[in-house]
Amino acid sequence: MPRLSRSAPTKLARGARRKGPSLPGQIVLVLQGGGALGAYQIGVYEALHEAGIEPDWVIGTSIGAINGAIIAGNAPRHRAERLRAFWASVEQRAGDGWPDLVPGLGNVFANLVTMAHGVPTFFTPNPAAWFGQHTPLGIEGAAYYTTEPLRETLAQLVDFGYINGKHVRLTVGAVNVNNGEMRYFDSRDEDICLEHVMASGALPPAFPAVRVDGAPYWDGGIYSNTPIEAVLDDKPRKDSVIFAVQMWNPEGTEPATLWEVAGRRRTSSTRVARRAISRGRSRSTTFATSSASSQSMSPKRRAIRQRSRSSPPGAAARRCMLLGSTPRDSTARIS
Amino acid sequence: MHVARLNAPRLDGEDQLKDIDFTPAGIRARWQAGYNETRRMVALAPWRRPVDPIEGVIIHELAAAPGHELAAGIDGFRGKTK
Repeated sequence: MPRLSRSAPTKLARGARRKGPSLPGQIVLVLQGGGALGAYQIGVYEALHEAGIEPDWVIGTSIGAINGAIIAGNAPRHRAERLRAFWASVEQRAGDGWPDLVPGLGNVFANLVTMAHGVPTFFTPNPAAWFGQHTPLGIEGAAYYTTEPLRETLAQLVDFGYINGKHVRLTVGAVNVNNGEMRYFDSRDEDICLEHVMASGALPPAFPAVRVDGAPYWDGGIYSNTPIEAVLDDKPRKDSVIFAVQMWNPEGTEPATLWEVAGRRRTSSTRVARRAISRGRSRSTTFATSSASSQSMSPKRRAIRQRSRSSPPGAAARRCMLLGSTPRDSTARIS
Repeated sequence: MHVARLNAPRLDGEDQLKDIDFTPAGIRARWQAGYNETRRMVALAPWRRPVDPIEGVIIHELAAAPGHELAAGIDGFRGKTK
């Protein structure tokens, strides 16, 4: 496990000089959802922190929102330590001590224990769910688990006053249950509180919806696990170096069993959604850069840009798909 | 605008329950992977490369493993730039 940095913290008021390397533009950390896979994000943060790089803006969905809130809700010198505290608290040790006769068996057992008992600082079973699928429990109760423990844990680890003091911008994604619309709650525009982070991680049907301003919200990942779109859509758009953490790696050998196929299906569907949106968006961003860029735009690009502007609203999704399938070779590729 | 993409690796034996794998070994392996890959990315600092101003977004990705890192390209950046 990486050593916790003991180096002096970087004071990160807006406009303050950093001790770390100079990067061209604001530093953005984008954290996808993915439950336990979110441990990867801690390593990412620690490596950046040790290099003297602290984010100006953290965007997260689901576990990314939780890790993001811990980062944006603490002074730089406390961030790694609080992230570690959270992840130490969610460890499932039930599989410890199993003889390693069958590789992975301890893991299977630990996962079964997690499903049966939850993770005491994160989620615990909701007994009301045992009364059957058709029992009316209300939108905030209709789930297999309750996330009340997470509320306590986050309240201890995140200083929401610090977030709303605007030291670091925090954006968390959630989806409105009533209309299916994605919403990015942004500390630049409104106060971010515990509810917003809880809503971003409310993955149904395991976790119950969380109400924000009267409307119930679920984990933003069920609509779009591509929080990078929040940077690309930001107005005004700024030069940025975006550290985009992808949690669902689609590459690997051919799955051969039903179990492996089930696993790959989850990964692939996340990947498809991500490509459709994030690549589509990044290409359209390419066509819509600053005026300095558009002056030097080639006639072909100008034509594409013109066409994309005149497309009817309904064509937007299709356009993203088309642009998303543009061969990568059309952009600079230097190996 | 530079996007430094950091991809969480597929670990041996992981399955569709990997997102509830809260075992200490699983957490540690993913944490370490994130740490190692981010250190590599920061060391390579691909955002220092000169870029075509017409490209609004440049995506940088690391080659699969340190042992297989690509040779330095014309600009000296080892790794992939898309």
